[in-house]
Amino acid sequence: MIIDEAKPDVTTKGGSRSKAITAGYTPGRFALRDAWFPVMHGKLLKSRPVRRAIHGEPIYLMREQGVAVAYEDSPRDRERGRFRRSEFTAGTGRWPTFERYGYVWVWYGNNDNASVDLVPQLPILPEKGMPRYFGGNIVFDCTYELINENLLDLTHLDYLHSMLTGDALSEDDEITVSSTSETVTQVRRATNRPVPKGQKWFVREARQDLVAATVVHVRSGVCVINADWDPGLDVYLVHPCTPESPYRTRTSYTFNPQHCAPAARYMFPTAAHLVGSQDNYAEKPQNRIYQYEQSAAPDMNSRFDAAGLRYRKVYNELVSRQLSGDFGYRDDGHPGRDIRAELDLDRPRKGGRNNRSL
Amino acid sequence: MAAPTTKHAESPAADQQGRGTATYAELPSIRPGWWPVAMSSDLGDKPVGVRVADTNLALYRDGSGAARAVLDRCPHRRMPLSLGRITDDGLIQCGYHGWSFNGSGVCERIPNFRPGERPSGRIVIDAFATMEVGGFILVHSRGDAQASLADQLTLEPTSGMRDGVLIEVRSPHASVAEALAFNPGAALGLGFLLGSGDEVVGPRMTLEPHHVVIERERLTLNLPRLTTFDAPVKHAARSRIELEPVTGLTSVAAQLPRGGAVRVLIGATPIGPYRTAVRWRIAADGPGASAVIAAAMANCTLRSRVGRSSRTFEAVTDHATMTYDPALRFIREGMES
Repeated sequence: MIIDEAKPDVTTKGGSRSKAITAGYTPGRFALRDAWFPVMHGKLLKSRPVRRAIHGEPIYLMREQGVAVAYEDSPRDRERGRFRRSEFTAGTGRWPTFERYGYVWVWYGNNDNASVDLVPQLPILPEKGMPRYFGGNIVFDCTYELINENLLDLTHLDYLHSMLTGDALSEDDEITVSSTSETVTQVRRATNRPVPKGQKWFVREARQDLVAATVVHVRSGVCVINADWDPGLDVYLVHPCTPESPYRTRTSYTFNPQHCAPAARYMFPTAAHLVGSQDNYAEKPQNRIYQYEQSAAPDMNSRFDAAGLRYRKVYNELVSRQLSGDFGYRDDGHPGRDIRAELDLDRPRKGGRNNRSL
Repeated sequence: MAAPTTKHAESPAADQQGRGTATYAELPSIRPGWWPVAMSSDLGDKPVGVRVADTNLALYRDGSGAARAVLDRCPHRRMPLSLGRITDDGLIQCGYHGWSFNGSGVCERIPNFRPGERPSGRIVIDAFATMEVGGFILVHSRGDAQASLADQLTLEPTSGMRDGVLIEVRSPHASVAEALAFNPGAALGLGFLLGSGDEVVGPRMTLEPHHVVIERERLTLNLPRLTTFDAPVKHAARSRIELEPVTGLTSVAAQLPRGGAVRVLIGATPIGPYRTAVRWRIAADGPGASAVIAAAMANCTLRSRVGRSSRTFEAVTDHATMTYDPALRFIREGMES
């Protein structure tokens, strides 16, 4: 594996900077605000109220005349005259909501800043979302920062999920990490990898290339993934990490597999809980240690941890900015910007059959 | 008597590249000594997680079969190493990213490294001095692998020793250690062997260099007495309790009614400010030894299945803290001095 960092200021070489990033890193202790969070799939929302949470704040969602609305209090509490009316709803008790890409988005922060332009762009999903079968919910027993780091962590793929994603035996393996003030992007290009066991029944070739691009929106935890096994399938995945509490993260995922047989396209979403449970096996005890056993010893890193360290750096900078009262977005990290190029969606493919578009 | 099987793990010397820790790590929150943390039979082909005071340890057997103890926290992303695996060459491997550590805590392998590439020598995890004796895994809280406190006790295994059921007692470790000195038969439900009722003669105490010997004679059955009449069953059992008062490591020996003897080894591990794990083993020889063992095992299994097996232990612990006992005073004064 070769790490090619677009911004080499987070390098692990020498160790001092990575140590400084890691030593001050306390996930689950700060609620980053002023962001849209995809709290649930719109297709699952009916007139019956559904409870969700962002950073511990309760949200009761329902449809009123077909429009998704979100309240701070349950309908029963409102009937009894109980109203929370926190700062997040500007005293109205009603969260700003918006539907796009099949998700119900809720704004967590100052309502005056709740512009729909700040909804993260998801170019891998249709504007109205995917059919219900391609989505689902995974609840992780940890804070959302750990899930985001996990998504940027490639070496655990080769070890923990090798059956599905392949092992480390690539001919060439190059990783590029870049970041803005709000996002971290990692692109991995591996060539001539053995086809993993989980794909062998629908990929005839013995070896394949992999391009895996991951864009993480640090503030909201929304993660956009394009994992392109060529020949093989190209998995578009929206992996939100909505922080419900320091011990609970909800991932209302949506798959959009491309370039594969219909059977594979419909089967792939079933792998979500298999992979999710493998990750949760590590993250649940990991979360306990990060939350309760804070020690002076910083985490040790190898050169494969550049993306995770970059995430921590961007996260720490956002926390510092918000502690000083700066909740605004800078131009480089605007969530609504076009990320097609970052995800490398338009690259030519050499293999694949039954090409499918959105 | 079987040959002693005391087995020290080799000290964590630096390897040829100079990588490695010079000394074992310490457990500063507990007093210096060899602390029992697990039974030998607990260590199989997977790492085991145990708690000692406020520290979680991962225990495993390395390639030579020696018990090893390392901090149960991967230095990379803090995943408990006890959830990982043991590699074919005896390293403990984290289940998250596959970082592998030797018994000295030095990181030997990181997946995806080039052939011949070695991890940085700075990547180490705390390793603890371990010893395996009498069927217990002991960890030294000051990293002193050469300390021989446990050797002073009569901990050599007798043939045919059986492991009792683990008891988690909701009491501080010091109180549990006192309960073991005060009435081990009642605490473990082995009154019919060690005695659990009234003490018929006063205890005799002897101070050895590293431990205390208490000889007691108690009625075997702890039955209620009718006003001032004598006990309805007068059979008494004489026991010899060897106690290391700091760690609570205890050996109790008693004579069986038809000849022969019974030995019980007990280790108490603090797993919280008000919680102690008690592990014990039992062996008997002479006529009826197998029946004695079978009765003891049936009793402890029944107690663990029906209700909480720690209930009587906690009652003894409470009693020991509230009653006057010359042996306990002897131990307390010795500890203070």
